[in-house]
Amino acid sequence: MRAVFSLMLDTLREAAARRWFFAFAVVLTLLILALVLGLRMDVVDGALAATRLFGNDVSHDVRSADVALRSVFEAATYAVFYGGLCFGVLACSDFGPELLSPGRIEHLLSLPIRRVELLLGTFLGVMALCLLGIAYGAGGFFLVLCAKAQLWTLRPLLGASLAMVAFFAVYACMLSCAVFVQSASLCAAAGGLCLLAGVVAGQREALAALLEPGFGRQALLVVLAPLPRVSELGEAAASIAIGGAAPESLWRLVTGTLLFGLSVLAVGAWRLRDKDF
Amino acid sequence: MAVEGQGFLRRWGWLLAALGLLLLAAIALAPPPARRVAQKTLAFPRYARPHEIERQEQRSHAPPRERRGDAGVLEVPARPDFDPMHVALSGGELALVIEAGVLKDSPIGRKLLACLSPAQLEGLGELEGKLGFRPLERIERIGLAGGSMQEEPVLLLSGDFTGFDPKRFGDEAKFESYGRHTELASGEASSVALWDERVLLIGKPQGVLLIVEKLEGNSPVEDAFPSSEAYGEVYGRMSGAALSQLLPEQFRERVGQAAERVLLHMDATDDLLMVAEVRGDAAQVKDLGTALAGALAMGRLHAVQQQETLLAELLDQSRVIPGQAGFQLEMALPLSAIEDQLGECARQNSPP
Repeated sequence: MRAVFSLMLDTLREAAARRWFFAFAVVLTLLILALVLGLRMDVVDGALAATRLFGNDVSHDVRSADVALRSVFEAATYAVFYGGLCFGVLACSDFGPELLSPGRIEHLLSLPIRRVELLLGTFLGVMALCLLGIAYGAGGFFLVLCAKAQLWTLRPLLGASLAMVAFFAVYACMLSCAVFVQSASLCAAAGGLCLLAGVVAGQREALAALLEPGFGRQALLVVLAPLPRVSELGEAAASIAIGGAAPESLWRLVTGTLLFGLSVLAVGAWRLRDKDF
Repeated sequence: MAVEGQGFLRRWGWLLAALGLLLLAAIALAPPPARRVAQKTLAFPRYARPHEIERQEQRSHAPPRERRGDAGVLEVPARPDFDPMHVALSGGELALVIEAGVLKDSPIGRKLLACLSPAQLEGLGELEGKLGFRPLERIERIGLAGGSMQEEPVLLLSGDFTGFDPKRFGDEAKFESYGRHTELASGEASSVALWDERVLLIGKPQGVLLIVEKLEGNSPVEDAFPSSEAYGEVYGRMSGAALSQLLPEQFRERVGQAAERVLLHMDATDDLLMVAEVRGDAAQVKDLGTALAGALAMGRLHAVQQQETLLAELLDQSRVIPGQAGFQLEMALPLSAIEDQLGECARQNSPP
């Protein structure tokens, strides 16, 4: 486990040294600063002012702050969820090929580290990076929104953290792809494909309804069955963010997505075990 | 062997684990076990089955009935030899028949009856008191006959109404003999007629009288409802104008122009299966069929997204079949779906 942890830290150090992540951190900081300075919440201010002015006589036309902010939080959660996933796919695409690049892999294999640990360490390193990104980016974004709205809630952050679950499956595809083909662009394509398939899989019932009952429909349902439901996770994130109850299916969505990610990682581990470098 | 086994596991272990995890992922991501429609071949009603032909044959020939004449002599009067329901339904814009007797004993009918609320049962009891007989036992068919869309349709009840006492409708209803077989009570707002103790007619005076005249043979029967179309537990026909009245305002004019006639047949032997045959101007009715098919597909998508299981299943089994001068609309509602909607009362009435 120590080896895995070391590799994880190594991945984080590598990320810190990259311009991509530096630029990302700068953009996020600027965005948050822009929000701090420029965001005007007239709807919320109006609701609060009306409450102060009219007290209990406020008509139902003036919505309470949390109701008025729902659409804002919902849109922000979707933006963070899908934006974060897309950025993750692009920014993390070359961690895998880098790990297996000539010179580095020979060095790593000369150390007392099992091959599967190499894979796991890199994977967990990227996941830790994802966690930091959500904590800083989404955390800061929602902190400003909450401060502006004078409505303190952790729900949007909790919702946005579901992006990490989706990224678990997406990055597993990317890393396993890297084991087969050491190409950053192909890894990004694999991640994008997984993301797209996840959005499609979230709509599998609706898509199946377009087909006539029979073999075609059953085949589509079987093919899409194990794929992570990215769009459903996004909807769950938005629902949690706006104060709605977490969907009953959340546990199965999270479990299934994580299991899919582990399954793809196992394929990567199988290929890495016998790969000649 | 053990070494070989270890070698196999070492070589393929990760791949087997991947497959196992993928299977677990599929299981975890599978939606909750919802009831699904059993994919069986649905026998939509398209022609009369032998028992329906036989039934119709019997209805066209009224059985002789003995009765005591004025002098106390037992006599067998001549009875009209045609199906009064089909004569009553002739020539109008709307003709609809519900085989109440058959429907009552069908699985769907039993479930519906088992699920009647106390208020509905009380209402049924009141009707029973008013009629003086048990309607569920004596009424064989319920019909709706509409001459034109401007007037209300006449309600027709066919069955055995021997011993029916018209006075039970109230003191104001004074029944008088009309023609050879009819007892008629006419009011300003509505009329009630009993024809040959076989058909009870309730409706607007003009509509009731028009049908009575046909049944008595005083006016010609034009475009009688064909016996060959009398199959299924619900059947009938309606004009395009009558169909358009059932639709939202914005569709009425176009649908009324496109569809000339709609033939309807519904089978409730097991699942609820409906075939509606729409005929009309070839070009317009084709567009109507295509639009309907599109609407069904959209509705199915919407129902799936909104998780409206019953509607999704209904639309899932629905399709439009284009034809030469019209199209057929097939719709099916599984018995299990109806059972689920009705709840525990229907499940207790399920066949073992």
